[in-house]
Amino acid sequence: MLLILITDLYYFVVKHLVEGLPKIVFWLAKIGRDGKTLTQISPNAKKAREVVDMLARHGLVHARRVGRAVYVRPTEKGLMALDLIEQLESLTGSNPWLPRIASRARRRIGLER
Amino acid sequence: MSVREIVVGKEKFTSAHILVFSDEELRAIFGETGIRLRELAAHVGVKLDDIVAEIELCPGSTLPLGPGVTLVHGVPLSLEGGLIVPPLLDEEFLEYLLFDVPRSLDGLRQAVVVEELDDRFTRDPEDGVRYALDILGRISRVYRVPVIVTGRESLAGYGFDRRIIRPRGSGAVYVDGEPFCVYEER
Repeated sequence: MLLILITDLYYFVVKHLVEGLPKIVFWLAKIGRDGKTLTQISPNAKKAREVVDMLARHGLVHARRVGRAVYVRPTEKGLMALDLIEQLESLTGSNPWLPRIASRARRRIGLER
Repeated sequence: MSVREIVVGKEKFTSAHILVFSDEELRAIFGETGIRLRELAAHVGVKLDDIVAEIELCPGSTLPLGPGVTLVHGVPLSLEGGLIVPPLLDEEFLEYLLFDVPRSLDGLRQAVVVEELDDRFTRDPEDGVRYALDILGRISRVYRVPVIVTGRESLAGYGFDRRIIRPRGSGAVYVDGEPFCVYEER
């Protein structure tokens, strides 16, 4: 079972290495291990639905309606992908200059005061 | 050069400029919009011819430099033209590399020169040098221009595409470890 999941994950990563992977990684990391509601994913309902559909197509998340809210949580495969993302981040090491330059850049562009 | 520009906040970015940013930078600076920016820029695409600069390493001996990041140590830099990065430090220096160098190259593509790279950081110097070289490598790849970096010989341990070094006390100038010419003080 584990081998099948790892093989599946491997083909998933290879298939999307050239196109779409940064988008998938970004949104999956945003949803995180604990999951989020559609509104928390994006206040734009159409955008949130597109993101969830994209991730669900790859079997990374599942959505469940609870009352008026829709909760989106990572599947087992999604959790493995999150593990992989964290391992890759720890391998590449953190760059202390990125948050410093990001903050300056956001102020410069006018995205932050 | 593509004339299409994407406006974000108070700034305009060409597709080439957007393609210089890494995914981490796009996420950290632009948030969710970052990935969309990358998609827009990739859709427009950037196709540029290589810019080649000629540098004189010894009297009468010049070396053509195409795109890539080159370390020059121990040889006075003799280059016609070129965008010289001002003597900024730390965040100001990195901000200049990420925002002002690409903007300048949008107007005129030419060789980029960064002098004394190892003296540009007052803290976390190793991470700073590595990060600056990463940014410069991306600038060189997207804009197809040569980037020339000067500094101490110890910089040679970082990832450069070419290393031009005249060891202390030696007259010989080595290009990627091979003797290229003999330098004589004028």
